[in-house]
Amino acid sequence: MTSTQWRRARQTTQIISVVLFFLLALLTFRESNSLIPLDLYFRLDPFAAFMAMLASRAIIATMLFAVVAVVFGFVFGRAWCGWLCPLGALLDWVSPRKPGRIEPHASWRGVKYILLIVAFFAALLGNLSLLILDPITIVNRTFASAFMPVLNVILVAVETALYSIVPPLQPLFDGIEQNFRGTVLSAQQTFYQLGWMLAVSFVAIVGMNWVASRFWCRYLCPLGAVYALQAKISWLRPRAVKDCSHCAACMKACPTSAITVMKDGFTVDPAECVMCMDCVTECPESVIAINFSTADRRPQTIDSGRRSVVSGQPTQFGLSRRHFIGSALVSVGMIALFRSAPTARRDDAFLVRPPGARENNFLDKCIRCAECTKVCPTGGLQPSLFESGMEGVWSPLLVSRIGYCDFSCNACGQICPTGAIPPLSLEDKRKKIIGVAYIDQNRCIPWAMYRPCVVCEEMCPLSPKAIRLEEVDAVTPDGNQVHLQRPHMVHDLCIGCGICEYQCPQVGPAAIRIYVPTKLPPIES
Amino acid sequence: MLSRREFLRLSVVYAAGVLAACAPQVTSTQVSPTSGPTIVPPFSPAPISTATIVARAVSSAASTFAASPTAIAKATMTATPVPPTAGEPYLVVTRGTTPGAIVRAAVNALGGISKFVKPGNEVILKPNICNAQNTFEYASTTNPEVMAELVKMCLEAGAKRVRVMDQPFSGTANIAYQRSGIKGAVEKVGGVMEIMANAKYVNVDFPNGRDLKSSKVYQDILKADVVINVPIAKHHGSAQVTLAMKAMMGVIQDRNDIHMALDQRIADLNTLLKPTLHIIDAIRVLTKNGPTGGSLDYVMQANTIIASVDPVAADGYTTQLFFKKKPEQIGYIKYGAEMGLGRYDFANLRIKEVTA
Repeated sequence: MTSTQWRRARQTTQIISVVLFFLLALLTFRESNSLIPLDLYFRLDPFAAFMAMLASRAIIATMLFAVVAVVFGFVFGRAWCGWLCPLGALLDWVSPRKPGRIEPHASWRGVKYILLIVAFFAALLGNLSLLILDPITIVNRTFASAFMPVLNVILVAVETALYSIVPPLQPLFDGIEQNFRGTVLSAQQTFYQLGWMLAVSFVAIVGMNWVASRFWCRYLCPLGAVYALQAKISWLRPRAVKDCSHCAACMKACPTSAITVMKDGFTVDPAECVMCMDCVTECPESVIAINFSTADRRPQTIDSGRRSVVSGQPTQFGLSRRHFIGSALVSVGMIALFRSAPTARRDDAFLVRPPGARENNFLDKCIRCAECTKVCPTGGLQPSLFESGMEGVWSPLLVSRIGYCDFSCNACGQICPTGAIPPLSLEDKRKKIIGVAYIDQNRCIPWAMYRPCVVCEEMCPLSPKAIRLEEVDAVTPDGNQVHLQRPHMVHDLCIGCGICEYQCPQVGPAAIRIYVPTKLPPIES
Repeated sequence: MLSRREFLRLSVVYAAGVLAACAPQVTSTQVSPTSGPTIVPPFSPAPISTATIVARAVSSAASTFAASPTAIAKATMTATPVPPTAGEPYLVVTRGTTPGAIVRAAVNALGGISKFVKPGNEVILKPNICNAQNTFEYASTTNPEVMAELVKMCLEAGAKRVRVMDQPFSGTANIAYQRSGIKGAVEKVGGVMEIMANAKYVNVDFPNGRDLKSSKVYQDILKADVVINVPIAKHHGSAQVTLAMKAMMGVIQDRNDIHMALDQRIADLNTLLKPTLHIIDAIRVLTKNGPTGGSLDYVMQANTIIASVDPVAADGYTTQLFFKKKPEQIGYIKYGAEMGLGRYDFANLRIKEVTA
């Protein structure tokens, strides 16, 4: 194959990968039947897979597939980054015509290794906080909590505007609404309190391309760091196959600036090479080829005209013992800092986790991928910010005011790639207590405002309901007689699904709120 | 690139278009009051120019983004109740063994399906599919065999299309449609399940409402030739019972408002939302823990259908029959009668009881 054909092949593969990723993401809905596993990209992600297994001290069977990715890395180096990674592809596509002039010093490339090692030691200590830097989780979180809600706002606005006044469009709109609601499109508009933050951080990651192309991949990506370490000893790598004229076309073409041209040759850092093959295409004399060779493994010096490539230059980052130990200490310090936050002592009052998660050592398995967030039919599962401390940033929590835990649904447990939310049968899930509702009698409409309501009791899905109605004859402060029904909680029955809080018509915070569950012994009569 | 003159000209044209579009948009289907149903052609607006469409779309989209609904000033429902003629019963109560046969007998006793559905009609059946959590045995959603039989009957009468729809308050429509069994039953006999899209609700005034003045209603309910309300008889905590009148809440978007003065506002809803016919499914009756139910212990097998064009009568009769209460004890039934929406003086009404 010619180099142009290789470039075509790579670009096609990138497109296919991105399309596949987004297709799987769109198909991630409740009771979805997909031949291709919906969490495919997580299964192929060695950073997510092995950190999760390490932190939870358990083999996650479905994620063992990541071994294939590891083997791939030893053979092909960072080809994942250049050919398959959805974030990598998006970064390639959204970048300035002229790359930025400011190029950070090569030693900054070490940051990604530091992040990887810190994440490793953290996982050793049962912490997965740095999984928020995994590129697959970044794209998935942004998709679920920023992109799809925005898409829906635009779609519904267009439909509402045009439905009555452009009749020829009605079959199109009807077709979309009838066929995709509750599946590819969320049944109702979803609202994410931190959607803006995810959108901004994604834009920032892409925006960094204007400083240096593939900035994220070069300096920050921990998954890239995994492949980079493998690439240092990988089989396939760029090599010079004849004498070079030092035109530096390859250096200008390389998106990760892995090539440095010097007066007596050039060097390629295989740990930075994402196998994009642009150097091969741009070289006017076909000096470079990416090939398999048993030669040229160890660092070599170059003479003018000799065909060889040096790997491991002084300006390139090499992991030293100091870095390793330093990272370990940073990791320990970081986790200790997390554990000294108030949320380590006492849960945030409203930290309601998905069913079964709380009992399951949730945070040492949750990879912050937002699959549960995507699949939740009411949009109740939200990415958290500090509700579980810095430790749990971007892990999911149920915000009942935004969306309740649907009594007919068990989708989050079915979709969770690591089993942090355990897969439960619907029957078992209905028995899991995720929270308890408390009625604020100072704000509840029948209690405080002497008017009828009790929507909470109406909505409670349990049988018998966890809310009882009391018929009262009350006297309002102005002296009027009213006959009312007032709600009372039967806390022992409540599972904390939150539909009461969701539907409560009081303005602002609901007059009935779901708190973290309190385990109490039965009442002594 | 546009010259300054061009730019100014285009701006004035589009600004004029936007201003024109800002005039209140009136969409009304006038139905002349007759004793029988009139076949109203499907709503089709007069042709309008692209510029106006664009301008209206922009202003509509802008107002949608600003979350202020475009008001429809005087909307009425196309479908109208078909009152009994001389000799026909005011209300029927049918009993039997199979739900399909029971409901067929009820419609026949009222005068037959062709009295209500004419060839070429757009028909909407509105069952109770209020949640996705239970299957039909738990009596929180309308019986699927009843729905299927009604679809069959409407198609036999020559309906162009029979759609079945409701918006659940708990769970998503697509799952609720499946779990209730209604989707499977209805599609097997040629009916179409429709998900009620948010974009299709229009703001409607309720001029005869005492308390409720406006609400957003699903526009197809207003436009269909025939709307048949098929609620299931259930206990309800705050409303005491949920039957035909309360079921009209299923076609409005914002339900929170209604709960503020539930009884009066249910009656107010029924001042505008008057379907062709009400058929109360009492094949199974939910006697406790309504409207969600959740245990077979709460379900009473009654194998009964109560049907009438008068929702007050239908509700009143069902309340007496199954819930051991008098009609006037249910707030919205009492208000309904006061406001002239119906009657429950059954001694003066022709009630027909049939065994299927």
